Amino acid sequence: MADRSRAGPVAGIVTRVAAAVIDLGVVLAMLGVALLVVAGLRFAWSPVSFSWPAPTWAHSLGVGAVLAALYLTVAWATSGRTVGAGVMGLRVLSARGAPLAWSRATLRAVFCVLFPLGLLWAAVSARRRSVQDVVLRTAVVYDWSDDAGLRGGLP
Amino acid sequence: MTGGPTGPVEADRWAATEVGVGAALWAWQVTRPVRTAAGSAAGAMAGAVLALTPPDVRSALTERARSGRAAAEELASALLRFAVRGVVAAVVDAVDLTELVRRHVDLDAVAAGIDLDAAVARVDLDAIVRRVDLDAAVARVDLDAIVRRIDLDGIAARLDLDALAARIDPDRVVARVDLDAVLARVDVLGIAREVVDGIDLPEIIRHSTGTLTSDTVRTVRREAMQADEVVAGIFDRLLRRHLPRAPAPPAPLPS
Repeated sequence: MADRSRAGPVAGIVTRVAAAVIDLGVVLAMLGVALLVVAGLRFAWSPVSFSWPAPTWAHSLGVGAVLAALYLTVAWATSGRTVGAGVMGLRVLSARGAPLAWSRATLRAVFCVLFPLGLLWAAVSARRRSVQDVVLRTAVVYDWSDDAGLRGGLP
Repeated sequence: MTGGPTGPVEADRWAATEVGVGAALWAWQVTRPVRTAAGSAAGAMAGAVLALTPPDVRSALTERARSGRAAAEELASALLRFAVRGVVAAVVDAVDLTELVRRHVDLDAVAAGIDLDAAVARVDLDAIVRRVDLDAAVARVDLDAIVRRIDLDGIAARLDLDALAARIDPDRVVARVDLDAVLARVDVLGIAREVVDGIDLPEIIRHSTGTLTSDTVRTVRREAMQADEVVAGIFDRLLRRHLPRAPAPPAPLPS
């Protein structure tokens, strides 16, 4: 069994899906902000011929995927938790219980963006590990600490 | 003064005096014819002498007699005054006048005869009051000492304050108060600003929303954890796994 000195029990599928949905909302918001930034740049560049950008689905998907990968990488490599994980009280650690390095955080982020359905394996897995956890030897644990508004840790 | 013997020696003296007086009266009575005859003779002789005396001598004598009588009267008057003064002084010395008056004078009757009303009516009280220097009199009064002697607690204990308060009409008192003037003097805006300054509104909002968020998030997390357990149990049964599930909630974590 891996060292879980920093970790609580491994989180279940419902909590992790909820966190992922919140993170999806965050990425969509980032996408909207990116659209506004592009529109502003275009207006500043040529106000006369300005028209709202109308990205194709492929463009939106591509930009969204890149933004999501960047967001997840930075979040996991620094605090070990995204916004969704922070709300749901989760933290992503290595199987030894250590914070993820940038390399492993990048790989996990890209893997999650390309194959999000890998998360569902956590429901089937006896040790609640997603495909990404199995491949990259990571774990998602309950961690209610480091919350400014939350005191007393887990119930 | 009522005479009378007061002792044996005094009695003897008194008896002798009475005998002497009796003898003198008897002699005076017995010698009456002699005195009458002598008087008639003297009168006749005086008439003869007067008849023989020349008129100028007679008038001179008369004048002399008159002046002599005046001098004698004057002398007698002076002597009498002297004697009376001495007697009165002696009497006053000898007699306790106060005791005498007390014994023989009906003072009540005297007082009843005095018309005090008339006496008082004659008194000019205004003039008396005008002559009194009230300021000086008041200045000499030690009010502190007087107040110290007053039992204020005792006086207060005797006062029925409830009855006094019951007689006060609060409505009339309040009606006389000019609330507008009072409010005009109050810096309501300044007070309100001070109160608002004293309240750390951002801290209150932060604390309340923090608590709200904390409670909401905690509830959501707990519900999700329970759902995790339920889903895990379902998959365990589907896959016919028999894994030990931790029924107790996870322990607090070190940060």
